[in-house]
Amino acid sequence: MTSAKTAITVSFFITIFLLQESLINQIDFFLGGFSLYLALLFSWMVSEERVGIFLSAFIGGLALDFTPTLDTPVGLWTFTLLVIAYAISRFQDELGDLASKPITAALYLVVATSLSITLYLIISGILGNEVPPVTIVLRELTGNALWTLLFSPIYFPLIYRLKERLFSEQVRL
Amino acid sequence: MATRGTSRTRLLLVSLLVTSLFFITLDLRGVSIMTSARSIAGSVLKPFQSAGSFIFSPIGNFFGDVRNIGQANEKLKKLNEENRELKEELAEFKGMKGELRQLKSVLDLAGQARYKVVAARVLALGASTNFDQTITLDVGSSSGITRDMTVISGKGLVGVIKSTTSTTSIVQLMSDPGFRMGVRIAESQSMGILSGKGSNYFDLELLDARSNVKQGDVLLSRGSDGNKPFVPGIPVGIVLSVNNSTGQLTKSAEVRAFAELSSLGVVAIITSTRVTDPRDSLIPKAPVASPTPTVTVFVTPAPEQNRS
Repeated sequence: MTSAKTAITVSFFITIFLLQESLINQIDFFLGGFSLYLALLFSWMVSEERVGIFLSAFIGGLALDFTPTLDTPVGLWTFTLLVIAYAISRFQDELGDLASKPITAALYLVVATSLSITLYLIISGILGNEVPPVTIVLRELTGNALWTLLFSPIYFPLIYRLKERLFSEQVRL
Repeated sequence: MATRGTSRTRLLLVSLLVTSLFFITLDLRGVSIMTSARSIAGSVLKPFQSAGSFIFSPIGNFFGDVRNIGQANEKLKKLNEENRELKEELAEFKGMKGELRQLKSVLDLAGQARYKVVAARVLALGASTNFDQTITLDVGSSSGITRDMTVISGKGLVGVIKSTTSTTSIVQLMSDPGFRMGVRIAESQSMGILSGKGSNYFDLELLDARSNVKQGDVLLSRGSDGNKPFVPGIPVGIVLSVNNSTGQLTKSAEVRAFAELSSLGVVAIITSTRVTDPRDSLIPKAPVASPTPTVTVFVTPAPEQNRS
């Protein structure tokens, strides 16, 4: 991963982090919140090489760790996303090119976001943080999965095209 | 080459994992740099969040409203139903309160004169068959009510029982144009005949041309033989004006009834009285003006300062 690409990745994650915190969090979604940040992060990661996947998970997790409202230790999201990133890198070949498989892409995003939230809560609980009741967790996971699934036909192709344009411009330069 | 690449990737993953664990350890050990980093991030985010909230809160609220629209409609329907029930209850309560006030005053009056009374609720005003001024009460002969008994309200005379059934009775109101009764003026004891005029106002004709009547005189019922149809001493009305026409043989006056005959809710029928006439003891007391509180403020001038 080149330094220019890393800079683009960092800028992208910071932008969607701001988008999530300032706009998406203002919406009272049915069932539970929608993490556009996680959905876009996994959309971004899946088309990367292994190094790119790990670095994206690290940068994305670190940005998420600096969310002011979090009371879990800094580094927890980074660790969680790195574990998920490892799993993605393992199954990347099986997933193939998701741009041509929208249903698989949507399911991949639902599974990846749900797993990352679940893993985050488990590790958070192990570290002694307060874990919300199961009913609330299930509601939030269902809500997040629902919105991730519903919006994926919009954002997933957009991320693909954005990446293509950004990195093709970079190659030309 | 592939093995070297894979091992480098693994090394990268391990180093990133170790870094994240290092951050977690630092944070758990309370290293202030981690807390500071989060608070800096909070400061950076704040303007974006404020702007987002300003721009996006109407849309955010819209989503919430759409989500709750079904519940809101149901709640609104429930609240409307509750509101209707409460309004009905309030109207009923107001009616009961008015009736209770009237009942209290009529029982007070009856108790003052030691009358034995039967309280009754007014079922209907007026008669459907003719133009007589009557009211129908919810008590009848089964409650001991008979023809020619005196009917009073808390303020004074109302009328006379005209007819009864076992459960109802009809009262001829004193405002009925055919109503005549003997009255006496409370102070002068002069006698007169009071005639109904179809309203709360009556004509008084004194029996003796030499009798004196003046504005403000209180009229009481004169009483009948065996207290039927009129029990003596019941407040009837007050003289509003006196007609001093020289051509008339007797003096006449206009009188206003004490009882509000158009708004009767609860009345009492006098079934028996004590032997003696209550005389003037039932005359309504004139309202007493309540003292106005006054506040006296003493102001002591401050000593003058030395002027240069």
